[in-house]
Amino acid sequence: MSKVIQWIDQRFPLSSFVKHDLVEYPTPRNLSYWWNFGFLAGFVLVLQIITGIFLAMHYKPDASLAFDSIDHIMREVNYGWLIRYMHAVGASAFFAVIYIHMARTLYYGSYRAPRELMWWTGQALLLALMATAFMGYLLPWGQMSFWGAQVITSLFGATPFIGEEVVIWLRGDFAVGDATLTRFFALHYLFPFIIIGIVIIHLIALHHVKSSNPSGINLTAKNNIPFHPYFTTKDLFGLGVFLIIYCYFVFFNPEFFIMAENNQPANPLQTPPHIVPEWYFLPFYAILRAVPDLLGGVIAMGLSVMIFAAMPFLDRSKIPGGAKYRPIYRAMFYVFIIDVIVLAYVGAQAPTDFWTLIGQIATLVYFATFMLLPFLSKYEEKRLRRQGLPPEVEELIRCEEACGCSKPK
Amino acid sequence: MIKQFYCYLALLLVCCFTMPPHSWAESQETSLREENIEHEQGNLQNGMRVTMNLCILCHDLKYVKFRDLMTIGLTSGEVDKIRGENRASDPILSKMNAEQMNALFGMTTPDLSLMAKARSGGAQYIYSLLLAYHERRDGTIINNLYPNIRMPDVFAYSIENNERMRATIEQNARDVAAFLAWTADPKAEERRTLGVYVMLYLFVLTFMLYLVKKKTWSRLKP
Repeated sequence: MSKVIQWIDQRFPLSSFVKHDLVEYPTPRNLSYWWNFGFLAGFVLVLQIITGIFLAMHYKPDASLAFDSIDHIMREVNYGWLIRYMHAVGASAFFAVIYIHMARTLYYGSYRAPRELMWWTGQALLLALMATAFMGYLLPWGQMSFWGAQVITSLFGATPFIGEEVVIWLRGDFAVGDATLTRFFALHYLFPFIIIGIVIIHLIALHHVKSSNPSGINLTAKNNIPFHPYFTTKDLFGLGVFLIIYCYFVFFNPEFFIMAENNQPANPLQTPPHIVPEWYFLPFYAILRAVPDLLGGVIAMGLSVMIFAAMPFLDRSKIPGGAKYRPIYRAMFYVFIIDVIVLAYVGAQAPTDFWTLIGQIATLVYFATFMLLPFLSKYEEKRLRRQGLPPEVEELIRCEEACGCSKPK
Repeated sequence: MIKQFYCYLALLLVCCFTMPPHSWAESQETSLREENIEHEQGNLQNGMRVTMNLCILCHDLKYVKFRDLMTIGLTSGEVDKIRGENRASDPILSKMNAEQMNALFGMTTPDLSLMAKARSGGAQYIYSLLLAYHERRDGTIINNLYPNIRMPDVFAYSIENNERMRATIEQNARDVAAFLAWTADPKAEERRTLGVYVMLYLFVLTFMLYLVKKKTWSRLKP
């Protein structure tokens, strides 16, 4: 065995990679359980790819067969129901894990230097995940699949001058139909592998800059501990807790995330009374509907997703340690989280005057938190420094101002 | 086939135009009935019989095959009697074809296999819908839960006065709902049984992982 490894090591850095990046990889010892979610996201990605490949062996991407083939999987294929429910619940689990992962990054300010590229590759991953989920949702060819795709693709009609052409180009037809289903299937199969590629970049960046930690300060060698066995065991325990929640839904409440309308086959002649996207798109859908003008709504929705990328520029505070040591930022964080939940609730309601108004207010709050951040973060930093910070922190900020790095000397 | 068609027409006429001895109060029910639907094998089998005698006249159960009925406790002999000339591996289809449905209703009747999953409220909705028919003062019959429904009051519940008959109809409606819940999710029982084992395994595994984590981290000096 050791001879084989030796043979490989002469040609490929296997042992040194395992040693450097998996076993001895230095990790801050003060990471809380909020740092488990990156690993969990990776786990769900693998789970989705494996279950997805098995589903693709039995699924028919044809408008006249798709709905029936799902039922074939549910009834005739051995454990088909299990694979399909794992995949369907897995989609929701993926977003839940990713949103918590993002909220952790926002709370602890992990997007700040030197981790901007991690945050931006994460943003790319979020977009790829959203695209994958959206295309995957068409595949069961239920009522909500069809009308959801119809609504979302029609949004591209807001493109100035060439809107109509863009929509037809996306759908491959004048309306969502067989051509759309087949191409969404092809792309839904492709995108996860693009996601794997971006995840690798995300991880290479991580292993270069190392994990952030709740203190916000780069820790000295004595406060970093090897990844194995400390974080392998911690991540596996977190995985166990995750699987308990996940399996509850798979086995005891699998239709919880599937709307009743989607168990009716797609009918292009019958629009459902309320077209509602999946829960993970609801906040953005509410923002889309909050703007009276279609183009404006599409821009607002696009911006609401993309604005996260601006966080490293918007947050001008040099106080390390995230929201825990920054009272104003912490308040803004919680206002933002509550606002997103309000938006999600509004997104699920029929657009009456009342809910539209609430949606508009929540949309304003959503963007206001980002727009106010540069001023409030600077004000907060000045105030905290006037009040007096611990000398090590002051030292750290001075060092950063002097050399543009956050590493302690 | 023609016979079935006439059977149905007769049923339709009975349901829609029989003058009732007296009018039921016009109540507007929008909420679902709350009685508990039992899912015992006896309920499923009774629901199956009612469905096969009544619903199948107009509706398909295309995702359910005759042989699948054995999973709710029917013997192969009983299934043979039900399937008639169909093969055991054939889907359960209505005697009416799409053309006849269109002629009667102006639409193709929806397939019932997934109905319990395709309506919010599930089995409770089906049960409530079947009994939501009321006779109005002018003698017409309306379904208060879904006024635009084109299905007549197949149980003739709106014009039934006998309390015992009404109770039987209610039981039949509950059993039909239970049966359709089974057709929509025939693997539910297998899923829950397997789920219990999976959860027990996960609880033990997670607890052990917690101990491993705790033991590992206790080696760490502060």
